[in-house]
Amino acid sequence: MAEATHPEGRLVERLDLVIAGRVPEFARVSAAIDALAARHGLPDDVLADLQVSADEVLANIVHYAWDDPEDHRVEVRLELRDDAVVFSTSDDGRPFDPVAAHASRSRARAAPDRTPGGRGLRLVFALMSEVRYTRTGDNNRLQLIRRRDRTAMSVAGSVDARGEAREGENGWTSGNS
Amino acid sequence: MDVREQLIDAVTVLAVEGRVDSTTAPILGERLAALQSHPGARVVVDCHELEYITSAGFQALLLADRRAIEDGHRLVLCDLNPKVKQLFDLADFLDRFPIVPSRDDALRLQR
Repeated sequence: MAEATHPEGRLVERLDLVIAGRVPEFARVSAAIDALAARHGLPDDVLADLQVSADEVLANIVHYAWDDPEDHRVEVRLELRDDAVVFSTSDDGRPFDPVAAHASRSRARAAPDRTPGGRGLRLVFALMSEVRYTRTGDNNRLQLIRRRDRTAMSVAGSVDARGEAREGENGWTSGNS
Repeated sequence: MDVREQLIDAVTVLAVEGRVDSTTAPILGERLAALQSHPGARVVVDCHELEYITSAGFQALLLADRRAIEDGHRLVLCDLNPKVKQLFDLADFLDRFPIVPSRDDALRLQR
């Protein structure tokens, strides 16, 4: 029932993985994204946007969420849906709302962004169609949504509607153009 | 990520292939630092085969450019493909480096 009304459409494939809080673990996430992209013929541009955004988000978590990241884990979920790819993370680090942080940085955009992780977040918000954050109990939950149709771009918490529709984004599956 | 080095008229061209991200950026940073270890060493980063770069990679390039500036010149980047150019633009880095279309342009700038 919930699946039928999901805003990003029907679930095509879901991958869950848990990584330790250190950079070398990112390769597992990267490989999972590559595998999903290969299985479903995702355009190179979408793949690059997902890889860059996943790296930025994971780097932010590992570098800033904890004092002792190696003792913690990040839960990662990768979902391919009819209308979007959804990359989600959950961590039990200190509360950090990137959507609010990005919105306030955008309002003060005259000043160059020198905050830790600021440049990476800026990339994520520009590359993704939407970013959602919730704090649930002791967990930060972040959802990055890269829609198939870039013209439907909207970023939660206002800001930066960059990224017009680009060439070569006909469909997720190779036989679907 | 793979890097290939070529010395052309006393300028080192570092061709970066593949992905520069949190995992590979430190390797790129070390390579650049090693190339810049002699005073007067000129480096060009050829981005033709670069698939994408994340902020960790931008940080490595920024540090290398700072070293070059301290040594009286710049790190020159060339041949950015459209995806990489978009990432430089979105990260607000297009104006932070000397970026030229071709390797020849970069070599001319470094002579």
